Amino acid sequence: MLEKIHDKKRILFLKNIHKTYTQGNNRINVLRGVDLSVRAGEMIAIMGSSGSGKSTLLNILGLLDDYDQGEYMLDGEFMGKMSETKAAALRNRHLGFIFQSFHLIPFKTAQENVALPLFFRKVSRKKRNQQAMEHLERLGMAPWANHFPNELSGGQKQRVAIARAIITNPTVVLADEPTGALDNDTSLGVMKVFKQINTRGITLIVITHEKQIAAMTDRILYLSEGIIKKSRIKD
Amino acid sequence: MLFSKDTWQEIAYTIQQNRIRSLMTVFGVFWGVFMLVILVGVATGLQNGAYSAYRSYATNTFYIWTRITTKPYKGYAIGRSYYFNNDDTRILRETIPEIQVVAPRGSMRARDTYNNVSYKDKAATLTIYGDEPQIRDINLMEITRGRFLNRLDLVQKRKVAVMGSESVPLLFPEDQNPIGQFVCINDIHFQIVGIFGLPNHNSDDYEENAKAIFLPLSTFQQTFNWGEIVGWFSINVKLGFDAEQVKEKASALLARRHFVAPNDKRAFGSWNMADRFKKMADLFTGIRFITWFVGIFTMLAGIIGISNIMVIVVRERTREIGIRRAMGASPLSIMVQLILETLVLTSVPGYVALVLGVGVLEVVDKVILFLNVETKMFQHPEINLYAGLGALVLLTLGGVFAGMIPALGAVRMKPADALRQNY
Repeated sequence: MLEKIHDKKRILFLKNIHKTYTQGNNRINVLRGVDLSVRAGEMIAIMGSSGSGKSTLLNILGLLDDYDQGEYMLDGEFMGKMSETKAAALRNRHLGFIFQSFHLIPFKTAQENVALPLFFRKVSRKKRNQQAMEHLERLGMAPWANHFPNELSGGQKQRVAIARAIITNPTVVLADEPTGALDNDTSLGVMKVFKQINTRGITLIVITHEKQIAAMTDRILYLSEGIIKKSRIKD
Repeated sequence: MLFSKDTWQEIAYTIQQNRIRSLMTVFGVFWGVFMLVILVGVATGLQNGAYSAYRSYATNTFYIWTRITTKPYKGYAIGRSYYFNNDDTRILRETIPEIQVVAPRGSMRARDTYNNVSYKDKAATLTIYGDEPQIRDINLMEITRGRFLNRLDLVQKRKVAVMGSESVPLLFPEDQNPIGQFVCINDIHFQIVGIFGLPNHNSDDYEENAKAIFLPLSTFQQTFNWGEIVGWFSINVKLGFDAEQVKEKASALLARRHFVAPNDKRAFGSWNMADRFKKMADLFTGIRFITWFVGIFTMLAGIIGISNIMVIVVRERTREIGIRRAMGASPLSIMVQLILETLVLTSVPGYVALVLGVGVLEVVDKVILFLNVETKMFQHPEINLYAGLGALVLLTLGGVFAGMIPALGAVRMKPADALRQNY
């Protein structure tokens, strides 16, 4: 049984995950039995064509969506049916998110955006601003701390989003096409940041279309027709 | 969360995002509450004006007097005159327990005489009442100087008089104290022992009462050859009893005593102040109901407007809500945030409208007083504290309710779906 698994190295474990969407009278089986095991500190890429279920899988991994069937374990804890309040607490404790379109809150400064997850952790304003500043400094974004998202470039926005994702020191960072809206050079810069984060022991799961980006990870998984068909470990 | 700067920063941002929309929306609530306050204030002003006519009287009172019989009874012919007397006073007091006060009265109206009261070289035409001290329990009078009639005046049939404040200048110079002076009423001297004022200038009979002179009833009867006759009774009914029923009981008793046919309703004249007051009170209850009904629904229309806007706001901010939830915001914190926003949009204009409305009523009241406008039917427009607090409670509950609907919608959506939205 999944509950009996206490392999500390295995931070994330999926077994036979199914997910079906209903559109009108049609049922679309997006995930048809995904099995996945991720070790702590691993950096993996999930590739696949459009509609292959990559984002759905990431949403399930991020507790942003539920699944119909299967078993999911995160950091030794079984994720079954749970209240949204509990899911929110788990997301805040274990997970960091990076999105293709950055998803920064427009009326908050870079520093306030980075500090946001700590607000939901009830960290004092002074402390969360201080921590946000430290993370922005690490990512070379300190001079832009008081800028609003619309005053930043794509790469800068993504660095702010990365700082926000890691400020809670999460177990796993989930990145959905993090370089999709960036040019090549900026994309490589972002991936370098990912590498740095990964060397600090944070597990990274990156969804990408770009082979160049995927090649920078430890392992590449190919999702096709709702199942992981191929897995390639980097030489 | 309530005291977090972030919370209020976001509320301010939401409002600023669409200033015109926010302004138009909050104006709905502002106008609803403002109209409620003004309507209630005006209704209260009308009520105060109407009630002021009754301020000089105990309202649970009726008056009864004799008229000519219209039915033959027990050998007595139709068209007979009869009179109440002192025994009736005693019997009424002894036999009808629902009665609080019986005040018998004799009177000589000013309209039936001319220059009937004089002091030195001055004369005036004044109504003369013969009363017992209990009349003050029904007809509210303020003794401004001296005293009112007392039991000893009555028992000893003293020739003493109490003057209405408006009759004093007709007989006495401004610098002279009338107390202790003797006035001549129908050629008989009475010593002035007190001056009274009436609290209400609005009653129809103010003029006559303020220019009246009160004598002890026993003295009045003896001096002016009334014998045992009583002109009419003012009867105040104990609290909790219906004045109309007590009036019927008293009429029946007096009819038996004076051989008046039980069904000869026209043999008694009567005026039921309690009934008149109740009718007016009922009218104002109706007016108050309509006022609150219209006011509350105008206010609710404003609150519903806010709720509609909040639904749009939540739709516009769905993705932002999704981001917050991905970062770990609990559904409760999202709901509290949205409800707080709605509460600000409802309560701030509501409180402003309440304060402004009360201010307008206060100004109107001051203007009426300043201009000394004779307003028998409109006095002191106001909204009482409890009504104001009630409106605020309703407004707050309305605000919470208005925010609850969009807030529930926002947290029901899965975070993944919220993040996908692109409004």
